[in-house]
Amino acid sequence: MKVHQYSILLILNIVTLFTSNTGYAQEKISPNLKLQYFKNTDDQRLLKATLTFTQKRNEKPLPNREVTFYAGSKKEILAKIITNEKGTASIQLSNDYKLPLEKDGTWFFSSDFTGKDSIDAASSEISIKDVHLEMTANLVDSIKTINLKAYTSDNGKNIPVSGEAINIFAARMFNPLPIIDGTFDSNGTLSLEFPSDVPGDKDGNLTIIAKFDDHPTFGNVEKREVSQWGIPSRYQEPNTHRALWTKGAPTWMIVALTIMLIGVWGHYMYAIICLIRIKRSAKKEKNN
Amino acid sequence: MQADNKLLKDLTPEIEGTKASWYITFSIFFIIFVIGIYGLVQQISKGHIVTGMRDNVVWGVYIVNFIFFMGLSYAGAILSGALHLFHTSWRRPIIRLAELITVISLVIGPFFIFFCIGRLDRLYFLFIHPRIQSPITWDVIAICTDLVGCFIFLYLSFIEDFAILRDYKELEVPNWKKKVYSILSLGFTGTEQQRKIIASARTIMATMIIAIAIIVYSVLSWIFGVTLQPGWHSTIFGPYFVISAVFSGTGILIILMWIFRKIYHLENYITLRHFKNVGVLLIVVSAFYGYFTFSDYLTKWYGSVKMDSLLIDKLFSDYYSLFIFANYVGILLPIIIIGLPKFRTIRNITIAAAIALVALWINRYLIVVPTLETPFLPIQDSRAEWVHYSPTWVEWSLTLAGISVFGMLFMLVSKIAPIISISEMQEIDEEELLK
Amino acid sequence: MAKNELEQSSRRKFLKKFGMGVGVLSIAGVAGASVLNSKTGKTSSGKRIKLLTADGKLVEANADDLTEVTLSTDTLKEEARKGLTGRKFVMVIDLAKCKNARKCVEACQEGHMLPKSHEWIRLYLLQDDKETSRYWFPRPCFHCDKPMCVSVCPVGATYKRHDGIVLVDNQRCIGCKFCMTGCPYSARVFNWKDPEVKMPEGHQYDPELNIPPVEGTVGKCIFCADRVRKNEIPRCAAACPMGVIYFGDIYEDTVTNGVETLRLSKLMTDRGGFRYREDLGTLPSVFYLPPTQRMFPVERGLENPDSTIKERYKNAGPR
Repeated sequence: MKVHQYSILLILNIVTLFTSNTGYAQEKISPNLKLQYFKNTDDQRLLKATLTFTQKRNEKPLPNREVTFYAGSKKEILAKIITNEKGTASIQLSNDYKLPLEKDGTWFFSSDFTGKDSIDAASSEISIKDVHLEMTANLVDSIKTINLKAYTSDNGKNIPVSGEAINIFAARMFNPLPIIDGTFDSNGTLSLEFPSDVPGDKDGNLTIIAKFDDHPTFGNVEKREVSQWGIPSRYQEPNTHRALWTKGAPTWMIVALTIMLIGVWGHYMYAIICLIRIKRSAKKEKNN
Repeated sequence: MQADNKLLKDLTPEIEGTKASWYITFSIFFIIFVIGIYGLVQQISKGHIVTGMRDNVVWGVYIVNFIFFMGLSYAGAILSGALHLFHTSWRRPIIRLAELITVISLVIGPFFIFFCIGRLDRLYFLFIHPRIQSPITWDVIAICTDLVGCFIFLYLSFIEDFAILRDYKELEVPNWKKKVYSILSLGFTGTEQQRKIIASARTIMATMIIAIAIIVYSVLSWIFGVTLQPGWHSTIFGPYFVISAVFSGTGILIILMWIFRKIYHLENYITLRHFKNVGVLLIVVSAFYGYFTFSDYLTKWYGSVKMDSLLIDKLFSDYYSLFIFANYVGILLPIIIIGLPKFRTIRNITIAAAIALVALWINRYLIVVPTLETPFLPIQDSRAEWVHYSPTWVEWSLTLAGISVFGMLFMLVSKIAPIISISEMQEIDEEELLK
Repeated sequence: MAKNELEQSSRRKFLKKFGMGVGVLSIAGVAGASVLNSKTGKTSSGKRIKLLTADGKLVEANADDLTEVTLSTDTLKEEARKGLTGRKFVMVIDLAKCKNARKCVEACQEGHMLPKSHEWIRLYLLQDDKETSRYWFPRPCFHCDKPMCVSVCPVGATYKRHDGIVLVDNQRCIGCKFCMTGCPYSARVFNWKDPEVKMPEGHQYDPELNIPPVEGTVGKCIFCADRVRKNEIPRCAAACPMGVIYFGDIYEDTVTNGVETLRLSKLMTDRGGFRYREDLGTLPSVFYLPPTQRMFPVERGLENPDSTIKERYKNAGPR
């Protein structure tokens, strides 16, 4: 939970004061279920439900709980999935499956968690308008240009998406890095100049992502494109030099140690040989 | 091999028979040792939580004792090594004592490292996964080398004595002891050739002992010196540690000379002359040691480096009395007592040596502990016992156990061979005859 | 809950790290097998089995392609010494946002099964001089590029990987504590007594997760190497309610705190990033942003923690 303003904190305090007056209802966990829709670059669709609860102002996941997914306002059961350690359960929607279309041309999804003993039930629903996103990345007069096109379908007719904002990201190891953003014009197109200083991998490869991020109507829809537009990263092959903190010691250390050890132990050997010589001479004397 | 009868008569009674006082002293040492073992068992079963060490002060009295005992081993290195090389004749009655100090303290010292290690069961990892970059590896190599060298050196000095004891017909000892002398003497008969071989081996080993001793103690100081900690990260640490080791080695030698002179009635052999000579050595070393201490702290105090200032502040506040005792009293008092001819009695010299020894131990403590209590990031911990270090009974019991083992080993060795080298003493007579 | 997470994580790693057979499994998942679409009989082998992946996807795979892979601790240790190729991890800590909420400490202790007395990430209340202001200073391990602790380790129990992470193998550590005196940042903690934590069932020792803590050995922040391998930011960074801690790969020039993702170089330029005690020359992998234009007054950090925690800041002052 992010609290940035004093005022919000104040309101929260009042809320907690109020709830604490209602007795020991705190014992029961009131989970929060969040349903999200994802459409990836290969047009695969995914529903993800996240089951969490708030404890001491911390949002914590509820793992190992069954969440049911439904499609359409008639609540056709899609699947029952157990949440993982992060409290998420997700299903992939096959493209072969005909999702029931609502009157307003959207898809309706819902999910619920029935609750158990000390945990309340929770449910969540979303309406998604299927959007088609297209992206091309070309060099126009040696300017790295990204052309985007977005449209929705209504009875087989393409309707351009206009006035909607979209973000361009660079794919990264953890979270994608926002690079630029723009708004679609009335034709549902958008042309953006991609900056030339974004690091890619060591060969300059860079995956560009255009994405509607948690859009209220479209959900999460993305398009990926692998480009050569990154500047090669500074990565160097692992250095196998010898240092204090590497496995192998610096050469001078090994040399110095060897010289010292040979020097000292050599003299020890001499002393031991002396002892053997005494022993031998004693034996010789005895024999005489 | 024959030796002067008077010499043998004076020096062998302790090998032949044992007095009740010996048994009593030995038992006391042994009880202390057993208490130490009990402490160790506690530490092994309950973990290092039974010590006073915590996350800030991770090294305590154990490491102090380790450095201290390693320092004592310098007695042998300098006296038997250097005095042997320079053919100083007054060394003869005390040379065996010095060599024994070396070997015994070298054996005891590393045990304090073992007490300090969290996983004693993995100690052999030091040999199967060594990293040459680590000063601990240097230390392992150096101590092993030193130990072997000192054993060889000690043994070389023992051979002639074993031969004398083997051939001393009137010696009233059990047969097993005679057998031991016979085996250990390697059939040495004292021919010209044999003497030459032994002499050259001893000269070589004396040189080696001095060299390796300097390396061992420098390496020990580098365990501290290579880190970035205030008070440790100092270029002077190598020579500073070496000189302080000689200081403590000389101190313990004087004390042991006094003890054995008293209880084994060696008044005719260890005289005021020896105390004076070793005492003068103590003054010289003490002056050097004081000079190093002064210059180390002066540069830290004069500069404005924050961490150094914090450390100096701590030493002059929390550790004020200890600091004054260790670095003023402990250095100046021995110089004054031994320096003024009027005070130069056997008893006074011994007292001076004892003060020097205790002060040096505290000096080591003041090097190890206050630095660890002054980390770069301030210690912010709600657990008061984690902020300041104070040793627990376990640490003290093991410290005392170390001292008692030192005593016990000396007592045992004195039953096998004379504490004064017979062969060395005989050479004095020969030298005098030649004159 | 922690146990479950561990089981999951080991299974995940199992998927990510090696396991040929399981690799087939995850590919099948991507190819679009789903609960709605049964593809039974499409392959010649005939026998197919359904499996639930860690993501909750039900997938099918050819039974012949699946092999059970159990990884030995030795293999895990070997992998943990190699690290992730082509990466170099850095952390950025925004001192302006930290208000001693201590969620990083809690998440770290829970994730690594640490006793409450062990803090791999510590929160200091610093004041450089009496004329300057106080600030909260979270201190993880700095994962230095010239790590003093690694240099002085006599048995190679602690090591620096090519991806920058410094790990401790607590099955190798002999507990000499030299690394603790070597580290100028007090980043290491020692297990003075038996932590009495058992290895969760079905889990093997792996230096990347480094559980359970072992008596007589040294532990420290490991940048959550186990999570990083799964493309997840460390626990402290994910848990911070203020988004103080950013984590990323320096070659990608990107750091993220889970909510916002930023260009590292730009962040450094804009906010005047620095490293703690650059003069020591250890080259830390952790950068700090100065505590300017704070969101909360420093005192706010002293309001919430319980009294024992407050106690430790009692004597905090100029130093």
